[in-house]
Amino acid sequence: MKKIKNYIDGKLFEPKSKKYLKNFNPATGKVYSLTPNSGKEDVELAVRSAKKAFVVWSAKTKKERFKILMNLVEKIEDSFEFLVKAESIDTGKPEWLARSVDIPRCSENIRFFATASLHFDSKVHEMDGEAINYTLKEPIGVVGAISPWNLPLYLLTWKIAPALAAGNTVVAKPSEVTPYTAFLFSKICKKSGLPPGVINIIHGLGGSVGEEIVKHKSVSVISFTGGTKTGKRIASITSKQFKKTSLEMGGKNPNIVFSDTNINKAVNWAIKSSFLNQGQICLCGSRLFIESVVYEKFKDLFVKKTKSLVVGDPKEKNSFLGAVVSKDHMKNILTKISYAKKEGGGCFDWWKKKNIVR
Amino acid sequence: MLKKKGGVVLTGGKRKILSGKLKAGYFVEPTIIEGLDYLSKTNQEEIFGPVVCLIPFDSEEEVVKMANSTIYGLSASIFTENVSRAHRVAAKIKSGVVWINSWLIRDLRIPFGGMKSSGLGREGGFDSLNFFTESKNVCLKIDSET
Repeated sequence: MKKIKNYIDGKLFEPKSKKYLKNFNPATGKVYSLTPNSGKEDVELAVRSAKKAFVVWSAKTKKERFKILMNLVEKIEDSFEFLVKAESIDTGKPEWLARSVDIPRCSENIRFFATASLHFDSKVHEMDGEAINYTLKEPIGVVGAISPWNLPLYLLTWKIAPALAAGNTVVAKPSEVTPYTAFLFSKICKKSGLPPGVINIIHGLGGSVGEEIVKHKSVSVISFTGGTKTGKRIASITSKQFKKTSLEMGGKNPNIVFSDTNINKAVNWAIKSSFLNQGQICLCGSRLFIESVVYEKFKDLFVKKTKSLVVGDPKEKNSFLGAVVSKDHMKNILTKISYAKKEGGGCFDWWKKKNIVR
Repeated sequence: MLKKKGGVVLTGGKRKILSGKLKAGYFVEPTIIEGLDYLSKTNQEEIFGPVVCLIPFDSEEEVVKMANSTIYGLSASIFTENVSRAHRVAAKIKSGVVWINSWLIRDLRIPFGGMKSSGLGREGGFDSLNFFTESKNVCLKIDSET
């Protein structure tokens, strides 16, 4: 069985505990690799390495950092198809989606922030000849990046790229549910010319690895994308330490359709916003508000088009939906659907509003 | 008027069992539900799967109230050909991103993030570079005497 490794100080390591978690292919339900169930010791090594590397990396010129990051972009693009297939296997998402969204965005994130760092400027406040203020924008230190399973490599690089471009070093924790492309990414980093320790990737659970990164005194910044409950836990720790924190969390996004719109077009957008990536994007529209006068017309077309969507093999081009990310997540979704079938209450009588007698 | 409880599944609602190597895979049918109050648990809590609920509305005021009723505020989409209405509603929606006549168009330069329980701070473009740097002001006095 293929073993995923941690990436610390430019090298690949087994977790100190030698403990592993099963990594499933959601489309087959089979275990296909093992991911480190790392702990405090592994995080400690990674933070130490990132702290040491910060001295080297932050002292480089913007142009030097830019060149190394652009080299990383090239190496990612060399592995494009390989990463596409790996992301699809690890997440259950259709290959076409990983090919058109996830993997292109991962090199694009790095290219975008590498170039942005060359254009970044700061302000001068002049005081009528008495004094001049100028603002320096200094790198901070070690950044903790915690990323989710829905867009694994896309969101990992979304955090790593600006952190590195600004001169910081990183300790990252990808989701334990989808660790595989982060592992491949660490192998790519090894070949990119990045100094050892600039990027460290520790695999494992949120309660152990995530928690250790968040509370570590030498980690100065936390960037997190994931569930609101975890975000709340993170904020409760970082606020006490006055640590810079960025949280991207859940949504229950409204999608509002007025009667004057082109219904056909609105239905096509609703198909995407409801079901792209199996509905596992924080931006998905999960509440569809439709103006009453076009409700039935919209509903009929939307239901008809949804019925024609193919849920199937992620490798097949015509599969609009692949598998959801894990067995637990599937059970969660199905439980929530069963609950929806029996729940009621609230102050708004949906059926009365539609003039339907039941 | 007899009122039954519960949402109605218009399509989907089940696990999809495929054949061969994929028979144990975690596939869920795309699911559409109607009949639930906008304040129901299903319409207030995140499901994060292929599930969407339909809710009718009669006025701008009403739909803005319903749209803003959750603890979240990440994104919204508005579909209308009325340009004033589009801007009016966009201004009233409490979310970090509003799309008009579209969804998921991403420019990496924009401030990206959520309001309320959807997030803290913004990332993207120079917002990201500001977040990942500390600002330090240096003040230099210019002596007035020659």
